[in-house]
Amino acid sequence: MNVNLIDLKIDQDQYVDLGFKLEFAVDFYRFFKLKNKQCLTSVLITELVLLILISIVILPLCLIIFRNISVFNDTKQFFITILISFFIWILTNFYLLKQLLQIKSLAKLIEEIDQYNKVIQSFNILIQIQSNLTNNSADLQQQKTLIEALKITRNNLINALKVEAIFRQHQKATNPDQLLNKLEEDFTNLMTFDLHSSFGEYETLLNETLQIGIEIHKTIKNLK
Amino acid sequence: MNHFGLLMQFLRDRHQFIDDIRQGVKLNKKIVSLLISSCLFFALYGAIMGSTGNYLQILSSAIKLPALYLLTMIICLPTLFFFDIINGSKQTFNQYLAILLSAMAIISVMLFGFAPITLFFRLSINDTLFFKLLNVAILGLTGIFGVSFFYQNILAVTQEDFSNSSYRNKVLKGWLILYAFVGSQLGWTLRPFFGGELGENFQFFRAIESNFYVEVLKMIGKLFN
Repeated sequence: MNVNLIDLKIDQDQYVDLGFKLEFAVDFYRFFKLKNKQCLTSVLITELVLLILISIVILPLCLIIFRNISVFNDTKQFFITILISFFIWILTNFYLLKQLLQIKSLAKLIEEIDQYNKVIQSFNILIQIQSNLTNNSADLQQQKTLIEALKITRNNLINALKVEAIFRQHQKATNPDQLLNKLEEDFTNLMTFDLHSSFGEYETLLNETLQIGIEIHKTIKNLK
Repeated sequence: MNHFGLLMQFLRDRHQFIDDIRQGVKLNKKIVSLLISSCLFFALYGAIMGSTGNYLQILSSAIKLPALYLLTMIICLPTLFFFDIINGSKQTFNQYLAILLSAMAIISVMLFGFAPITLFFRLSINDTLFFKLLNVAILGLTGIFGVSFFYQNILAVTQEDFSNSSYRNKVLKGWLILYAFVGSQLGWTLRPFFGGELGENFQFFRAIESNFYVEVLKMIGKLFN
């Protein structure tokens, strides 16, 4: 059996589009909380470019100001520009890191998908080695079972990603606990509405239907 | 976030990438990745340009070179976008931005490719004038590549929107000339990118005097004298 497990890998981009803010927050969370060292490069590069971009925006303003105020020498002008950029960079980081509260479960899910993809990669190598060395039916059966198990895991992870995407689409109910509370509240409201307002109406309708049924029954009997 | 992965994907299969931009596939992700990778490469090349001065000049040039390209884009892109929208373009601003950023990414990658050569001349020749002219030539050459890439792709992406293609070509060529003028004048305004002669103090900005073209002609004249 020639199996290519790579097709079972999950490309998270197909299912979720996080955008810059959330992606940065996810990387940050994965590095600091989940201790994923691979995210360090991404976090550092993003932070560095963020500082450069802020300096780029600040630069023309500083150019205009320093040309009108000739109090500072060039070195001081440069350090003032850097200090302002640094201050705005810290504020931007605070804003971006506020996203951390929203993305805990998403970051954990992405971490799990990453680990799943690594497992797929390892299994793929193992299966290729195994298929070159032996070719007995017991191994083939094992491979089939393994692929089935991986497919189930894949489907579960994809479903989880889709659920996360739905939660984020409806941002007011991003927290699952909040969503459940809201559902409970809505349900209680609905029950109250049924009991107090519509119950009488339903009762009337039911009585009317019964009356009609009895009338029809009587008419049919008379006709016989 | 694998920004360099997306950049490599773009460099390997540019047609597919531009097709994705035309269809609006994951535009925001493309914009962010191209912006981040371009900024880093420009900053690196800027640092090499500034290495003729002290460490402050290196830092200053590492900020100024990405600023030069990004600010030129910010200044010029709305003109093209609104002109095209009035003339019937159906593309979004993000699509225009993504195409211009991909042209900038081409320029930044080419500068990154030239970086070892520039560094070699920086270390082997102690002639600031030659170093300046070498960099002007490299920036000009990479700029021409980037601009021609942008010209071809913006035409390809928007060709269905315009019935009069010769008029459209003229408008686009006019805009490219404007882009070149704004870029060179902004470069002149943000100067110095290079450190001065040995012992000269660090300069963050210089007073507005003369212009870019006169200065380049002067430098060529000095070099041959």
